[in-house]
Amino acid sequence: MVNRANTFFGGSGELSQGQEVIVYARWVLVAAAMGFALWLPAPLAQLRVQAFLILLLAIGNFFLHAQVLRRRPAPDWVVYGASAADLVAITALLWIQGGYPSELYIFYFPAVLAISVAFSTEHAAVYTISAVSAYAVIGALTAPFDAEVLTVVVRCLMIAAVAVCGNQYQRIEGARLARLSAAGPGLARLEEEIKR
Amino acid sequence: MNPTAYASAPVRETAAEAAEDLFFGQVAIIYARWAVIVAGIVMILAAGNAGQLTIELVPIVLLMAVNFFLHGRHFMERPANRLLVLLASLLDLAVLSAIVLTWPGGPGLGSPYFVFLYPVVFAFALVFPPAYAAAFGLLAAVAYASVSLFAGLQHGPSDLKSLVMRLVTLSAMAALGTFYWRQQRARRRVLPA
Repeated sequence: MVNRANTFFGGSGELSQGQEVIVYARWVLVAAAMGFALWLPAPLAQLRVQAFLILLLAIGNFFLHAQVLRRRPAPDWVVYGASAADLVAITALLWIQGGYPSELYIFYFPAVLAISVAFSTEHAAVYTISAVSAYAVIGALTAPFDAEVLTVVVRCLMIAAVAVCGNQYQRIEGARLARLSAAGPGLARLEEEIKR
Repeated sequence: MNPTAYASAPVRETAAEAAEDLFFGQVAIIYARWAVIVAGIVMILAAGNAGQLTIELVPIVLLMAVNFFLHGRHFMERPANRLLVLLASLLDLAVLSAIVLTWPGGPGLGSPYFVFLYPVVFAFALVFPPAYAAAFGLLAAVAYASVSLFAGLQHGPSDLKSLVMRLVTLSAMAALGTFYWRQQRARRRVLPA
């Protein structure tokens, strides 16, 4: 759903107003992943890769956060690229840690949450399906027993559930806002407030 | 946008807005519960014997009954009131804690079913005000930590690390859901009533 209210933030209107949620979700990922990487650390080679990926995400997020704070959100393609990078980083770290036994899949939850409330339904679906498919393949290939493949299925279902709930809520809120804005000049006032 | 930036703007009546939040938003909670039910049914397919199947079936049937009722009311455009949705969400927490403790795969921290909590906590935070969402998130975290500690941390520090990771990400679900809720409310508040 295109959120008209976003257009005056400098975005194209394709993204709804969830960029801040994406930025905060990524800070959760960066802070938690770095903290947990240093708590009972993995072997040095693995730790190097973990730290490298996490610091890359942190640098990118600093840039995006600065743009949001200046009320000049980054272009859509940068936001889409950064969210894809989040999912790739989580998947890569998971793979490095052995796939199924790794606990890092839980970082898909905040990442997918942010994508589901910020992106249009079509984009959110593509990102979620990509993440779930990647994890399903890695999980199924690395699960020690057949019975644990079902556990992977349950995890994938819950990741998808977060995406469905978030995007459904975003659509509901978009419809509410559109209905309210049709009744008066509220969006124009909002724009004035932001410029002030 | 800072959710508090428009505090001085004309405010639509808070009670009516909260009622609308519940009216429109509770479908997110209902969807989250359906997701848990579907995942539970998937696990029932893998039940090894009749006793295990019975243990797995009871909580799923209970959640289904609650969700049929709530979803039915939503279809009839007579959604449940705040108290009923709250009670149903507390029931979710109780049932999910029981699932983590009793279902196969290892009780407590060893159970793979703690992931059921993520969509439930997130959906709740999308519908209820921040104070409720914080209390619910905290309750979910305390319930899960209690169940895990009750069942015991078999592998010492590495189990403790897993527990803390899960609690941090679960709390993040509640916090991010609440942040989005506040953001949406701030946007509506500058619109005419």
